Amino acid sequence: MAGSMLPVFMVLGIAVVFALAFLVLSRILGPHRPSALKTTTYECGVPPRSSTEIRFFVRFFLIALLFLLFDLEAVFIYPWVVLYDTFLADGRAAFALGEMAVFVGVLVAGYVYAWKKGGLDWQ
Amino acid sequence: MPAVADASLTAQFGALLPYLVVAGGGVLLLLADALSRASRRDHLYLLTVAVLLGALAAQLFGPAPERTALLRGMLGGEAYTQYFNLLFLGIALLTATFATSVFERAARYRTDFYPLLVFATLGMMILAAATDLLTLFLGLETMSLAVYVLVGGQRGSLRASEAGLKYLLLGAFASAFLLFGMGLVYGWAGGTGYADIADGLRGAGGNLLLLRAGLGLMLVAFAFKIAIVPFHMWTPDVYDGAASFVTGYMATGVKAAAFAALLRFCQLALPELGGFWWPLLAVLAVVTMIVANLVALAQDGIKRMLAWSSVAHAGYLMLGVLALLATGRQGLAATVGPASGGAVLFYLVAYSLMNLGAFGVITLLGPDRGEEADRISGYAGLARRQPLVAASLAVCLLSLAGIPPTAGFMAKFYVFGAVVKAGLVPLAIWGVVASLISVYYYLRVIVVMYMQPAGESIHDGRSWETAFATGLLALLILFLGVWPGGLQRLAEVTFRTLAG
Repeated sequence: MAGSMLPVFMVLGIAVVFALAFLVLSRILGPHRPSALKTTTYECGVPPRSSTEIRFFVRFFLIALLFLLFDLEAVFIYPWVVLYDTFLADGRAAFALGEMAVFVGVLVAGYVYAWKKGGLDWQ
Repeated sequence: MPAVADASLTAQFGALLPYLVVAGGGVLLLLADALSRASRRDHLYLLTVAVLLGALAAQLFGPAPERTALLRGMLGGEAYTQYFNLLFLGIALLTATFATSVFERAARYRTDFYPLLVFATLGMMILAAATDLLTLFLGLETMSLAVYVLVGGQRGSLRASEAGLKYLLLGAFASAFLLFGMGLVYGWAGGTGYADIADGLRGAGGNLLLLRAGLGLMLVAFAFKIAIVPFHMWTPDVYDGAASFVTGYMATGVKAAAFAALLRFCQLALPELGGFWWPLLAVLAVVTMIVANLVALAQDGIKRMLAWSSVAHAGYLMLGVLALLATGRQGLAATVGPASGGAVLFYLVAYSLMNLGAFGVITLLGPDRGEEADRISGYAGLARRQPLVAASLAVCLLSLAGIPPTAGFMAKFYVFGAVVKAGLVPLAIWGVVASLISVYYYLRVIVVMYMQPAGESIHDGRSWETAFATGLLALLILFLGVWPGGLQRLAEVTFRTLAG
């Protein structure tokens, strides 16, 4: 157990040593000329101009959620496609097809639900 | 890649039918909800009842339960599973009935309730039957995700939304603990099946620290779902914010499902949980009972009071689990294990009956004027106006307090008896002290109902189905209080199928 975990700990150790080494080295070797602008907190992008706690259109959230759902389904279908040849070879193709039909059927039910409940309307 | 043989699936079809009926029924309800007009809502209730009754029939008249595992060791197919499936389906039926009476009167509830209720019930069934870490997680999440939405499912109610969000965030946190724990246990055992873990425990080799840390993390997640004290902080807010029929469902179904999974897991990892983690669990159980009962004394809202009471009851139930976990020790009769496991199973049924009854009455009285019958002072004079409803609530509360001749008394009697048999007398004393404290706040409601004149805030909802259901529950509670033997024997025999 401990032996098989050794490489993991080694990687962890090397990562820590490297990170610390670069921090210390840049401290020692780098020039230090602080200015007001340089010492402010760095964020990528434009600095916020007003409060960030604003209302945003809930549809963005809904659409993102639906996209994720139907996007991820492909991840499950893909390995099934790859394995389908082996199912054909040992005569379990009908079973595999049926299983995928159930999977897609449930997804379609979800799609119909989202559609009928107005989840796809941008109004 | 392990091949899934078609033959084994067909052979198990009968045993899997209840799950398939509930899952298929849930999808059907989802479609029916989306495609039907808003005015035809009562059809959804009838369809829900049909699905649940179909699953009940498939469970009752299906093939006799066997010890063989279903789906290659993913689900257990023994009588233990059947016992809990019947309990969950019954709870869901009653919850749907309570809900439909409210839906007729208040438009702020969403009809998504019915499919979500059915999916949550499916999750509970899988959770109680899980014999693999994967199905355990799958069942837990199916149940939890549906319940998060159920909690927040009131249009325009800020408190419900807050409760739903709070439950979702904390629940996701607890799920993370569960996953981390499972990862460590998997790393130790080399497999996710309970059989792999049992094999590993028989060998008792390897790095025990890994196993103990994993079990500890998993216990955190279980403790969150059953609401044991340091992990109970969400309970009052969530129980208070959700609609009362949802609260009743959570207090009974979610708790019973989590206990079903916990008991199965305890039976599996008995030596390790009963040794290393036992002292901590014992302390938590005692703290839970004392703290929850003391805080419940100070509540003015009946839902918050019942929320704290449900935390306290989780503590009593943990006493039974502790007695079971102590069976690995020396000098104990072999009957202690099944007796304590059976006591917990009996307790869960009794507890479900009385909590459903209480929340049924709250639902019944509640939503006429857009708010629920929450303030205890609003129950003044109820005995005069609606004597039968008041009597049902009184029976449920007496049973929660553990006063004979009710099911709650017998349930406590069996659990504390098992604890004493396991030689844990101090724990039993703490339990009795805690339930003595609890008598005060249960009786307060009864005093208000029977001895105070009606005030200005009068709750007066009427719905014959809910009134009938709560009356039936009260009668069942009294029946189990007077003739508990049958269910007690059934519970013990059922638990033996798990212990082998």
